[in-house]
Amino acid sequence: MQEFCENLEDLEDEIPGDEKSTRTMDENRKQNHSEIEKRRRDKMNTYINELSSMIPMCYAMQRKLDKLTVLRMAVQHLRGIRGSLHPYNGGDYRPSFLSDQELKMIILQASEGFLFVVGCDRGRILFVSNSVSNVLNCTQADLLGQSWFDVLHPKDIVKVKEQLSSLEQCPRERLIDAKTMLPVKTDVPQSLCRLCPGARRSFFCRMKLRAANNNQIKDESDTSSSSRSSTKRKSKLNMDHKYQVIQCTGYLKSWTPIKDEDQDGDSDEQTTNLSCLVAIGRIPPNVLNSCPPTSLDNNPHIRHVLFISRHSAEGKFLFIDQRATLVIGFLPQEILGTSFYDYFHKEDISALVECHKMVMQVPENITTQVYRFRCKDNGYIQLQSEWRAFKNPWTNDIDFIIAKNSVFL
Amino acid sequence: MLPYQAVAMDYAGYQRQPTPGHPGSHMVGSLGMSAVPFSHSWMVPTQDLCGMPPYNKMPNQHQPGVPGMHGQQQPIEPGILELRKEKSRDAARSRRGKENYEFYELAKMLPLPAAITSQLDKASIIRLTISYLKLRDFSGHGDPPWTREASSSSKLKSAAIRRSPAVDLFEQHQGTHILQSLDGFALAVAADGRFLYISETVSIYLGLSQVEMTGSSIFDYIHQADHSEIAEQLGLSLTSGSGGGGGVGGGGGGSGGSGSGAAGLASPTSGASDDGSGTHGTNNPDVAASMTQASTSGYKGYDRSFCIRMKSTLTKRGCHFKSSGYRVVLLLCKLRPQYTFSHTRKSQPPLLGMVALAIALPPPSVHEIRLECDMFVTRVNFDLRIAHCEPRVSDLLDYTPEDLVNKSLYSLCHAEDANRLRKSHSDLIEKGQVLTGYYRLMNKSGGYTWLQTCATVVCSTKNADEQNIICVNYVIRYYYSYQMFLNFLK
Repeated sequence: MQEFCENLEDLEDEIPGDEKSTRTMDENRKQNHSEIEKRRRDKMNTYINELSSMIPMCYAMQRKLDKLTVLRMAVQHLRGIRGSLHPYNGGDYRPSFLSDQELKMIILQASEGFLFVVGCDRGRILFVSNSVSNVLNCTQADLLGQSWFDVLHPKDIVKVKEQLSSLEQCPRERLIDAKTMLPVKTDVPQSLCRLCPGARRSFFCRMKLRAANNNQIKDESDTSSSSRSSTKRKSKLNMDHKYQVIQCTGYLKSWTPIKDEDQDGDSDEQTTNLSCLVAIGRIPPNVLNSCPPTSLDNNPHIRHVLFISRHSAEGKFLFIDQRATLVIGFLPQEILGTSFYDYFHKEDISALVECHKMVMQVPENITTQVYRFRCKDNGYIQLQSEWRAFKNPWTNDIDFIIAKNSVFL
Repeated sequence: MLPYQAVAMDYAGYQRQPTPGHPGSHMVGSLGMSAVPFSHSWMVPTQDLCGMPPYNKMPNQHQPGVPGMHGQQQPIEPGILELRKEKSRDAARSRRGKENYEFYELAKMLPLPAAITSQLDKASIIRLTISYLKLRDFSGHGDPPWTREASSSSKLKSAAIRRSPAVDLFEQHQGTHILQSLDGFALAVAADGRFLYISETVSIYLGLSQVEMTGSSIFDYIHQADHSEIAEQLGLSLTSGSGGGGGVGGGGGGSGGSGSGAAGLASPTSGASDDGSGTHGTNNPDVAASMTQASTSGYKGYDRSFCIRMKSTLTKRGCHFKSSGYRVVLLLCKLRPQYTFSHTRKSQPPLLGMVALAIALPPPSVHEIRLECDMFVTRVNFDLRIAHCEPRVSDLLDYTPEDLVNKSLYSLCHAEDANRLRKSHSDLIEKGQVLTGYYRLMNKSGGYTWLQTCATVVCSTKNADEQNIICVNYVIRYYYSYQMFLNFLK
């Protein structure tokens, strides 16, 4: 009872204050409201103007049209567009801003991708979208009905089978705690959640690339060609095929096949539920291409960057690209740990010292003059280098110097 | 619209007295847009002026103070004002009714489920209509043009291939499957930085609605600190801070004619400036100038890929200070130029916008990391020195954990990749999370291995200052060994 009275008093105390605040708040609210209203009207007028600029019937008119007319014309215009498109026929048609075809183009363009569906039991390719031709140079018809394992790199088959398997537990997959990095023990056996439809999948694999058009492989990396040709020599079986790394993301889907009589005889598992992997295959984004161009690229005398090296602040070789061996004859282990000054021609040293000093001071690329570099056979080769000091973004210390070295012809 | 009209009404009322002959000219001049309701409301009072007397009894109801004011201002009976107000109110109501009808007609035409279109407010209806019309242009006029109907699949049908019903089924629902398979969402952005399209799956990753985002500025959904980066990547210029956002939109529509004329004089060769809006501001208040290739000179080609923070209602607040309320996504973009018929033209075609996939990184609040067989985990310091490494690394690379601990990632990677790794490193420091591009880790015995790393700054729950960087490393492939290289040389 006492408590109740206290509450009452509290309430009474608050009332006058409240009144005051509500009054000012009302004024504020009024002002706010009119501002909001004005903003809303402005926004709406801008929208109407924009809309009228997009409708042929409106922008054909000389005078500015009123809102109602713009709206009417917009409705008419849209009706014209929609009428020429698929009519809404109800059922399972899902109206969407983009047609499936357009969506496919977005996926294809944003990251060179295609959709595919593979049966989990035998790895048969049940569906592949026609955009696969842009990625793997083969047609939809080439792949439909094929076994996915025939298209995969032999070394990836085991890995991919693991991804398709929904039945047995996968001992290799595990959960770890982000903080302690210790394995997490879960009560639910992982196989259970892996098997249920909708389980996500994400992995990389290599798929055969038709050799017809080699542009894509070349783009991937300059150095890959050497590795590829050596693997090619090793395994004659795959001689005609190169492989493309494909990043697959998707999910498992359980799917009841429709009963149909004209189905080919080879599908004998009609009675059981079919589970399959529905996935997007994408070429991993080619980040090498989005690197800013270097000044050396524009020099007509230089064919291309030949090798990369990394040096300590005082010029010691810390890293050298294997391509260098082709040019200078030294093997990486012969050159690592030595200073680049050991290889410069005497007459070039003073100029290169200046460049070296400069690169330690400015953050930009420093392009050296053309200079002579001693090769293993004691002859000299003409090089031009682009040096850049590498700063660790966290410590802001110069960790090393990166050099792009080009043979100058 | 309504208050605007009310102001004009009063204006007309005052004007009618001195110049009864030409009130219409004022009205048309001041209010060209709403000719219909206006002429109507003006007509009524003139008729009623003759038949005024019947309303004379009405002033009796007014208080005595009123006539004084009345006399000062206007010699008209207040009843007429009342009546006129009422008439105009009716007219406005009927006009609004008509407008509303058209709005809902428009909404019904939108390619969205009826459950959504019936719930839209007017601004959203127009916003979505504009986006839809723009998207059609974007689809049809970009390079390459996207055909709406799958022409190649019909070709396939004729190619005497036995198509199983499964193929048809998947072909039919391809869009849904694509969206469900992605580990992110798809989007298209116009040259002025507004979303033309964003897939409905955005709600899964960010908790935001497709309907709300479509037609809105992309900058409304990106962390303030990342605005300049995305503008630079896409070649947009942002409006400087508070600088006249309102004036831009109004000017664009009104001076359309003079604008295109000026553009024609300035650059007679470019037939591209017919969008008009490109020359003075855009319809997006955030953006001063549309996307161009020229201002993106730092980048080659049409591909862009970068990490940004997007608003997310799903990210736990306060969990990580860098991305609280935001989620880091990797945007894989492709700029979309306008389709040009003549390939001889040297100047680059204008950009219509970009398409992108947004790959959502695992939220930093997730404490359990799922590892596939080709992944290993390291913990690194903020300068990218490896602090701890899982023993299983030796299954995937030719290193033991002891080999790697205390080494900088920079000293382990291919020198050619160091600068890209550096960019990811800065992103990590700034945004709290990053998915790196593909980079090469040098093998101990020569050769290299391609990796991709998802690095996340993880705060300790007990102590916010105590932070760790957890790297989940994906081994893409054991690229090639040094021995293979030597074989190649021989």
